[in-house]
Amino acid sequence: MAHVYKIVFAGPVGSGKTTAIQTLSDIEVVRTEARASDEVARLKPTTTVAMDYGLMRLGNGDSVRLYGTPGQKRFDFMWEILTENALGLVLLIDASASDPLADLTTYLGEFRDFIDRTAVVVGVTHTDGGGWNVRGELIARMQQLGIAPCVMETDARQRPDMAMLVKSLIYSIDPFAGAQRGTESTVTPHKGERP
Amino acid sequence: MKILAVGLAARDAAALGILAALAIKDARCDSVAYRRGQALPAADLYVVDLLAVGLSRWSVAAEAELLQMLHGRPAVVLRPVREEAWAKVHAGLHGAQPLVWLTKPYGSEAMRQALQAAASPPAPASKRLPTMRMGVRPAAPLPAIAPSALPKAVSPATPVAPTPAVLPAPNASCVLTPQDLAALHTAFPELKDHAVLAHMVKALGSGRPHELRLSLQYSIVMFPSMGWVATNATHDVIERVCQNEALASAASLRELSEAQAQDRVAQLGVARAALDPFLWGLASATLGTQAPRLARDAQLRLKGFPDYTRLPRVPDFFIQLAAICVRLPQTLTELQAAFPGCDSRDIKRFAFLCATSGLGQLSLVAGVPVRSTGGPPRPATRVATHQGFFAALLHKLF
Repeated sequence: MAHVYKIVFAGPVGSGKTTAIQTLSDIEVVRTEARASDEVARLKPTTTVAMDYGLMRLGNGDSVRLYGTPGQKRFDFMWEILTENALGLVLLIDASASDPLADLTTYLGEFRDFIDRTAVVVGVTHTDGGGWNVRGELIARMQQLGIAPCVMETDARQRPDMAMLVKSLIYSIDPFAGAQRGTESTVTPHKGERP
Repeated sequence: MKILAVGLAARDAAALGILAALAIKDARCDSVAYRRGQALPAADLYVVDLLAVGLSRWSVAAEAELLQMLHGRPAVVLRPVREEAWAKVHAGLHGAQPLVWLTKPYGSEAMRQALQAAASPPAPASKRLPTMRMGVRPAAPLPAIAPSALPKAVSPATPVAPTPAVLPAPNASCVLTPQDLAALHTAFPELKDHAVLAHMVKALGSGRPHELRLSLQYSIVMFPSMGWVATNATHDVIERVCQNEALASAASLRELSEAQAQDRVAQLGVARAALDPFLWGLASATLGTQAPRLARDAQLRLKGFPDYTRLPRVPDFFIQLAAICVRLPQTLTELQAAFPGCDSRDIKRFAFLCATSGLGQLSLVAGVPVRSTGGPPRPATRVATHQGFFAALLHKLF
C-alpha cells in the first residue's frame, strides 16, 4: 500500500520556497499566488497566499507532498495546518535580506514545537552577491536556541542543492535511514594496510 | 536517564544509544550481556531482547523471570517476530509496570517512540493502550524506518518528543581552543606532516588573521574568528601544493593585524569566502583518497553542519555522520559500532575533515587504545535496496 508523506518549506517572502518546490517536484507546482499589494510588491509581483504544492513520486509507490507556506505573517494560520503530520521542515533564509538573522529567529520561534517533534534544515539562499558570513551567523543563533545547526548555502534552482537539503533532513530525522544498504568506501588503503 | 540495553548486539546497542540521546533529554545508554539468574545493574529504563536473554518462548517461568529481571522498572521489550505466545499475553502482563513491546524486526522510529513511551510517567491504563499498540506494529528491519511507523499525512498525530539534546557550543566560528588543537594533533599525529594544513590549523588555534604564502604569487589570507578566507590561488594550485611535500614545506605563515588582513585582501583583489568549506576542501585535497591514521580514539562534536552543498563529492555516509554529531558528540569508536557495515577509514576521514576545517571539536577519550595494525572492516556487501519510504526517497534524491 502506497503512503503519502509531507515535507514543509517555509521562509520569508522571496526566499525561494516556490522555486525550491518546483526544482524537486515531479509535477508542475500548484501555486496559490495573488498579486502583491503591499510592501511585498517591491520584491516580486505575486506572492503565495495559501500554499504551494508539489509532488515527488518515489520508486516504491510512495509519494512526498511538498508544501510551501506563505511567507507573510498574516497567513500564518496556514503554517500549523500545513505542518500537521509532516516529516520535517526545510527553512529557506534569504542572505540578501535586510536582517536574515531576525528572519531565522522569527521562523524558528513560530515552528519551534514542530521542529522539536521533527527536524529542521536551513538553506541560505541568494548568497551569490556575497553573504559569506550569513551562514555562520545563522549557525551561531541556532546554537543559542538549542536547535541542531544544520545550515547550508543553497541555490533553490539547483536540484543537487535542494536534494542535499532534503537528504540532510531525512538523516536528521533518522540517522540510520538506508544504512543497511552498506556503503562503498571513499578512501584507499595506506601502504601495508590490509584492504 | 540511564538506559540499559540487555542482550542487544553491539550494533543495535550503539544505534540505540544514539536514538535514545536524540529522543530523550539527558539519556545515556549502556549495554550489558545477560546471564540467567543474574541481577541487572540499576537503570531507569531497560531495553531487553527476549531472544538474547533466553526468553524467546513464553512460559509461566519465562514471564516470571522477565518480571523479576526488570524489578518493576520501565522497559522496552523486544519480542521475536514469530513468538505468538508473548504477543497474546503481553497486554495483560505488565499490570502496573510500564512495558512497551516491540516486535522484531523494528524500525528506528518505532524504537524512538517506544523509548519515549516507556520513559513517560505511567498514565491510566485506558490512555496507555494506544501507546502499547504502537509498540507492536510491524516494522521494517533495523535500522530502516518502517513505513507504518512513520507519521503520514493521514495518520494520527505523532507523540510529542522532548527537545532534542543539542549542547551549546562556545561559538560558531572556526576557532579551535588549545584543547581542541592538542586533541587533534594527538588523535591524528600525521597532521604535522602536511605542512600547509598544519599551518592553517595553527592559525585556527589563534583565531587571529594570518597570511599563508604558498609562493611569491599565491597567498591565502584568513581570519578564523570572523570565519572568512580570501585567496588568489585556484583549487588546482592549492591541491598541487598540498600534495607536493617540497612545495608545501616552502609555504610560510605570518600573523597579520586586522587592518593588514583587509589590505592584503584588497591587494589580492579577491572576494572573501566562508572559511570552513575552504578548509574542508584543502584538507580533502591534502588527504587525496586516503584516510588519516588514528592514534587515539576521540569524541567528535560538530559546531555546525558542513556546507555540503558547496563541497564536491560528499558521500551519503558523511551526511549521516554529520546529522548525528551535530546533535550528539560521538567517539569514533561509537560511530564505528553504530555503522559496522561501513569502512572505519571513512569515519576517520570525516572526523579529520571536520576538525581541520574548524567545524568539529575533538576531545580525547582516556585509555581507549586504537588498533594500529589490521585493516578496517570491509564495507558490507551491498544488499537488496530496502523498499521503505526513506530508502525510496533517498534513491530519488541521488
